[in-house]
Amino acid sequence: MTDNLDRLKREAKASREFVNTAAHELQGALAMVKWQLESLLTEQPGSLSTKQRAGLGQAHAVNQEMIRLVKNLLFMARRQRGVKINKEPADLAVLLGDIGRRYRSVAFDPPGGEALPTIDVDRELLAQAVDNLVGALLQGGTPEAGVRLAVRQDQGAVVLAISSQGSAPPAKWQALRETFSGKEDAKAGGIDKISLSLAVAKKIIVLHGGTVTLEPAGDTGALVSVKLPL
Amino acid sequence: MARILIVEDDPQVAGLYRDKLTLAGHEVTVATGGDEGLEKAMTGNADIILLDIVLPDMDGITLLRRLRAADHGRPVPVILLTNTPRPEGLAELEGMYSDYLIKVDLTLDDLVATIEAHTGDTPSP
Repeated sequence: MTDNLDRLKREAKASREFVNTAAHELQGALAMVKWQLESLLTEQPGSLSTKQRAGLGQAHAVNQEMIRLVKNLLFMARRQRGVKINKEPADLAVLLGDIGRRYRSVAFDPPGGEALPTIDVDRELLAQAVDNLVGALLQGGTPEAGVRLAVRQDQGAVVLAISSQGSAPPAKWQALRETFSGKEDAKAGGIDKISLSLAVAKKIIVLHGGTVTLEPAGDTGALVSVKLPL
Repeated sequence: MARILIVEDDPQVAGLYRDKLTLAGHEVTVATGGDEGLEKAMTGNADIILLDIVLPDMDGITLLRRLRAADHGRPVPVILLTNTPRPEGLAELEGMYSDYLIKVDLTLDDLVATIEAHTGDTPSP
């Protein structure tokens, strides 16, 4: 009995170490690809044809999807033994601005008026959640529709707004919405990468004591609102 | 112009950092392991250190602890730059490092801007 328990513990530890090592190596390779693509896309204007630039842009978008997928799989693996969040004061306008710069079709609208208060969050996990939501909207709509990010203070909370004007069929947004409002503990098996992204995003936001909603915006758009208590 | 020490075991990644930072007008030294990194950090005159955590010999966390234990009046800012989620126990290192950055979340332009924000330095023309 004790031997079996020890063996199971060793196997679980080996499995965790494998996932961590694999994720680390994959992210290292994906970071290299990302930087090389960004270098080509930003440092050589005029030296690429329209077709080459479009191809590199698509490769960059796919690479960003792969980064997101690896992070989500790592999160699911960590979740099995309980995810710990490391909260520290953060300026969410800075966090959203950083995420906006990762994409060529995402714009951040800085808050006007008074500066937002800092809020205690796990910056890496919250950034992962927002990135997942951005990715879901980008994949749910057409590439040219883009995504906008905004943040505001609202009655003891900070609200992040992630929106797309879409061009996606309303039925597609409805499917996303149903996925998002489904059970929090969505099964990893049998769900697509958007559903996985949304399930991870929701879990992270709930870990912060927050809420998240997805609603239609206009005929073909969508608005995701993340509310985090101050 | 800032003097930057990069401690990174992947030669391709180190090469990309070096090229980008050199192009931005900074002076770059590279160490490809923890032992070499600690020696260069202790004997060199870096204004800032970019430190990977997973290294083939001495890991970045141990390097950081040893560097801080030996600091003499001029604590050099250290940016931890990795693809590893924050390890447990990182809170014990509070105050020892200036930033914790995830490589895949960064653009190289972000990296240059972060370094210049920490050193208060602008590249030479």
